[in-house]
This record gives sequence, structure tokens and C-alpha cells, in this order.
Amino acid sequence: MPKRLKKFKIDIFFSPNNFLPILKGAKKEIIFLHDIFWKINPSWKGMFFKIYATLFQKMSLKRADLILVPSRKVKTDLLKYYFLKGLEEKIKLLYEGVDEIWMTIQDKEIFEIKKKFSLPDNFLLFVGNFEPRKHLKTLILVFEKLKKEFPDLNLVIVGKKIKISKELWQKIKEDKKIHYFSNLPYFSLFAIYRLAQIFFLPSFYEGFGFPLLEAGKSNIPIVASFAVKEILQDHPFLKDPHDIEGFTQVIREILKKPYLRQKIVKYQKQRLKEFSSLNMVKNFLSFLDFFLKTDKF
Amino acid sequence: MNLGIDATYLEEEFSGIKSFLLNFLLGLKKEKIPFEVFLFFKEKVLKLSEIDLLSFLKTLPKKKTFFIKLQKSIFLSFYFAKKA
Repeated sequence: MPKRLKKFKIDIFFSPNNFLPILKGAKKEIIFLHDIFWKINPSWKGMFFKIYATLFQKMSLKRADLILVPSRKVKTDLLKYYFLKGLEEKIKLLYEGVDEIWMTIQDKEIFEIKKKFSLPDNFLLFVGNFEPRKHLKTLILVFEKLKKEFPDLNLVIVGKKIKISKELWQKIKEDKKIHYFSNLPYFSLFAIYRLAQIFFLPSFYEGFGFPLLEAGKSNIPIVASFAVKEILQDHPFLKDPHDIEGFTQVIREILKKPYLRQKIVKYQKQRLKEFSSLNMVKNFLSFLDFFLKTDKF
Repeated sequence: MNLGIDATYLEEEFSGIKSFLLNFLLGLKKEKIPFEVFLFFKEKVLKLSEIDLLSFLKTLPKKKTFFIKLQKSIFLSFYFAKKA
């Protein structure tokens, strides 16, 4: 990478994922740091990642001229776990955003995708990697309770299998009402959001929670843990990640009361309005502008 | 001024980083920016202004992520070392 950066005379290099290349290839470097959950709870991530991150995270933070974070929480975490000179001044908040283009998906296309992936009529949706911090155990336990009351209810899970217990994976594989997809085209994902009854994210930890934006912008009700409080603020369906009864109760309410669904979708629409790809880019460019003008870069 | 972006995540499987980057680039493409943006893929470098992102994505092969490849190669090295 550094050689190629020099070849194309790159002045500023932007890494969208936590780390910088080992050697510097541009005059200025920016990283987008999604989270450092492997520091908060080391058991949430595999050994290889932890070795890699231990070796390269500090180096990247030291060398980066600008560190963009998706929430105040990630900034707090960074300052708690890394004691580097000038670190706080380099960290800037850049809320993530979803592009409007994904909302233009037509009913005909949604129907084709439903058919292509044999999706059920009535389902809860989870989107995210299979790793301990996502708390899939709660997801499955809540679904098991609900399907007794709602026999036609299904669970659709979209994500990569990274670290999951054998027992939980077995449950997912054996339950005919659980539909698992690992690698979908991004466009198809928005059809799935539009078809879902409820988006459910019971995570222990989220740096931001990008699928929340995707779900919210697709106008489906969200039920999530307090891990996303900074983004969803006073959303009424946020619960403790261990609160299986609480999650079950709110999902039951939404499934039974259509007006509740409309009410919450309206709140989400208003709350998530500012999280657009254009706002994200405008803020990014304003940081660049400020640094270039003031030569603080 | 030239801005370079590590776009290799677009070549990989579904991930939050891929979603973030794709939406970021879509936003960047809509804005009038006074500089050139270069996307660095594994084997090529492209100017953002010269590609239709959505059509381009369809042409990319799906590849395993870096860490899956790393784990696989380390596992295979141990396996063959033990066998030898």
C-alpha cells in the first residue's frame, strides 16, 4: 500500500477500519475507528485478532493525524484504554450515515428477492456478525418464547459466523423457523429489511450499530439493547441485554398492536433523519477543511 | 490535493465496515469536492469520479476476509508442520 500511495501522489490517506498500513505512504493519515470492544472484553474476540490488534492499534493511533469515531462512547473508550500524548485532540466525532439510494427499492424487486431467498411472510430480523458481544443467546431465547405464541413467526439472521458456541450454532441450524444468510448483496439486504416485522439487536456492546440505521431508514420498528442509547436516545424499546422478559414483552406488543408500530417508526424516522450519507461526508469534509486551513493536520 | 481510500473492504464479504464504506463513498460521490479521490483495491487503483459505484460492485469477486485467510493459513502451516 505505501508504495502505491506514493506512486499516485496521495496527500491524505483514509483507512475506514481502525488500522493504518505498517509503513507510511501519504503525508497525512486518517483512520475511522469503529470500536475497541476487544479491549473492553477480550473474550469477545478471537486470539488472532487480539494479537494483530495489540500489535497495530497503538501504532495506528499514534501515527494518525486524525481519528474519526462513530460515537462519544468510542471516544471515551479510547481515552480510557490508550494513554497517548495529544490523543484527545486528534479524535473527532463522525456519525455514520445511510444513503437514500437504498430506499428507492421497488415492491417488484422486494418480491423477487423474497422469492429468490425463500423468505417467510412473517419474521423478526437480526443483522450482524455472530460474535459474543452481539448476544445471540438472548436473540434465540426471545424468539423461542415468541414462536410459542405466534406460530407463524420466523427469525431471519444475516451475518458472518465469527465466534459462536457450538450449542447456539446447533440451535440455529436445527430450527426450521430460523433462516440464516451469510453473504448477501447489499441491495438485497434492504429488501429483507423492508419485509421484516421487527429489527432486533440485543447486543452487549455497539460502537455505533450501523444496522440500526439501515433498519430505521427502512421504516421497520427497532427493538434493541441500551448499547445503542446514544443513537436512539429516548426510543421506548431499549432494554438491558439480559432482559429476556422485557424484550419478549415489547416484541409481543408491537406484533399485536399495529398503531404502536406506526408510532415508533415515526419516532425513528425523525430521530435518524440526520444520519445520512451526505451529512456524514459534509462533516468529514469540514474536518479536512479545518485541518488544512489551520495547518493543524 | 489527492485523497486515497483503502477500498479493499468493498471486495470482501458482508460486514459493517463494508456497509459504512459503501455509504460513505456514495455520499462522497454526490458532493462537489475540490480534489481527486483514489480508491485502492487489492490489485487496482481507481478514481471515484470515473466509476459507477453500484455497477462496479457487481463486478467485484467475493473474497474471504483478511482474518479468515490469516487463520486458515496459520492453521494449515501448523497442520502440515505436524504432519511432516
